[in-house]
Amino acid sequence: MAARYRETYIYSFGGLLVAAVVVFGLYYILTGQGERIDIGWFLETITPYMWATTGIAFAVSLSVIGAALGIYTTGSSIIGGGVKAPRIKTKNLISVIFCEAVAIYGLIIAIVLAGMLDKYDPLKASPEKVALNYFSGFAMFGSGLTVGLVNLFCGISVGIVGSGAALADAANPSLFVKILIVEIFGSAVGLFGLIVGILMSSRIKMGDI
Amino acid sequence: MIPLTGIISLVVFTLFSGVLCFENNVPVYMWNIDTDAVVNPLHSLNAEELVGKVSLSLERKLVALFMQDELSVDDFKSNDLSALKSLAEMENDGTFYAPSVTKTTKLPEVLEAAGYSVVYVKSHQDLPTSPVVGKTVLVIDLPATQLGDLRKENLQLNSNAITEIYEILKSQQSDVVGIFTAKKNSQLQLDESRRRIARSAAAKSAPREETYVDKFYNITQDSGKLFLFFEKAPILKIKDENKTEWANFTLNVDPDITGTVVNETSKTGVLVLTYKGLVPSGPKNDSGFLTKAKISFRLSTKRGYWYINETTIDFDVKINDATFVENDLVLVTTDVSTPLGRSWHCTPKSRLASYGYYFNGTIVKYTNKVILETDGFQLQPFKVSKEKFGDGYDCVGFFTEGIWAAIILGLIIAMMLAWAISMLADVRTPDRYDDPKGKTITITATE
Repeated sequence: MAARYRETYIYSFGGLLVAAVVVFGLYYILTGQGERIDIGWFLETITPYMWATTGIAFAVSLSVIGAALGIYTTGSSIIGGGVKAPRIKTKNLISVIFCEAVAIYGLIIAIVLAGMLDKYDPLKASPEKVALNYFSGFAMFGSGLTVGLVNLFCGISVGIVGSGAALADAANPSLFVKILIVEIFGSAVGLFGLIVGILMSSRIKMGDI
Repeated sequence: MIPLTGIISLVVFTLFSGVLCFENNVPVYMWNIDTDAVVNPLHSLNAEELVGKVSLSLERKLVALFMQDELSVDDFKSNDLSALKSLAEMENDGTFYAPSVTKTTKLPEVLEAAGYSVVYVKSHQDLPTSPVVGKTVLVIDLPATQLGDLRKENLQLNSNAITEIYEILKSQQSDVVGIFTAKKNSQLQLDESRRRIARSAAAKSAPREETYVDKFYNITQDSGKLFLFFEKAPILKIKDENKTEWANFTLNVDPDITGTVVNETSKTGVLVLTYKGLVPSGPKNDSGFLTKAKISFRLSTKRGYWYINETTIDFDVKINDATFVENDLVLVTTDVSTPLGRSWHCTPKSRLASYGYYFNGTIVKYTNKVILETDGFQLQPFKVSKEKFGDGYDCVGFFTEGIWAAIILGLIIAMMLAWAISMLADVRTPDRYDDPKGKTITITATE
């Protein structure tokens, strides 16, 4: 039981979730308010602050997860290969730098988006203002999620390629430069995400004025 | 000798105070009255003597006589009647005070004999709205004060009520004399008042109840029924565009309910609430008077749901000496869409309708001028099958949007936790060199 606690935990959590969904769904249906299960209502009434702040959270957290996974993969390979071939240590730090850059992209977007966050009074605002605030909330969510997910996968891929580069370099020094080109392509992907995120956030206008 | 005189004086004193108690002497306080009359505090007057003393100074048009149930000299000493004191001090003419007057219940009759016409005022509807001609006395009964813990609160409430009513009268009449007295003395013989305090404390521990609570109205017509329920009085909030403060008017009188109830085939109906004679309330610097208000709801059904399409309001209000009259002002109603056969139910204080915007040429301006707020409201205008409301369709659902947002974000965090725990399950200790049968590896520590 102790050794298989991963399965126990996942099954019990999943089972609890399914039970909750079934019970609440049946409650709604059997009390004649089935039409209250309404995703449209949810999307319309949810405050845009939830979307905006979740987008900012995704921007930085998913980017950092990607960077961390990348550094974990490539770092352990560099250290492992460096035992028998110490010359690879300094040159292969460039892979780590590529992974770190991914985290910095996420941080930049998060700071830019957080600077655009502003409060508005829904009771006093005109419908255009309210619509603009809702658009800003959705745009911040989209921008943050885009950047976060792109940086997550970019970081993982750069890490795996960097790990391969370190071990190949340890075996044969001439291979390093060729594998570095692969790594550069992997890193460019993260840049694409940053560009799209910046584009989306350029039209954001939150607040009363 | 000395003990004898002591006993005699004691007996005389008891008789004297006993006489005072039996005779039920009540203090009388008058303000805005220009009199030089003086009262001997050791004697008690009766109502005729009192009126005789002050009748020359009462040569005004209007006398407002506020009758409480019980009053005593001690009440004037405490701070409970401070609102009344500050009102009296504001007046130009002086005040007059008689600490013990008997038969104060006969004061209206005595004044009538002196040539006044007596009007008994039951509510604000009876207050005169135009200057009065001829000598008139308005007898206004104040709510009961009751002995016990709540007496202080009730005295304060009463003195606020006196101030309010007096201000209204002063704004409409040229000159008003105010008289404050009661039917009985609140300090009777000590053991009787103790008994009464014990009884009243046991009987009633709640403060004075609000009068407008849990009101149910219905319309019954051939085509159907309409049920309406107010848990507390709805509030009409009105604001001038240039001001920032709202004047709140509590609609705490029974309205006239009219309207047409329809069956589903005709598809529209109307509910009209007409209010008259309302009580002004609100912050002290924004007091006013709502003379009439008429609220109409246009109802309709469509595809198994009923809606409140539109709310129109007519009102006449006076705030800070400025009068506003609105006719057929269309308010924006909050989204009320309920399945047929069910009632719309809303417990918390919520805005039923408000004046949201108007189109001014090319510019749409947003100004909240009127808000109709309900506090506990239930309405079923169609398909009332039994003698009670259909199931309530609440204005606040079981899961509100905030709860959904929190659930979704909580699930995201729970997924993070799940991933973390699964990563913990992958932690392996290095066991390549473990051999239970071989020699234990030892490392000698060298200095």
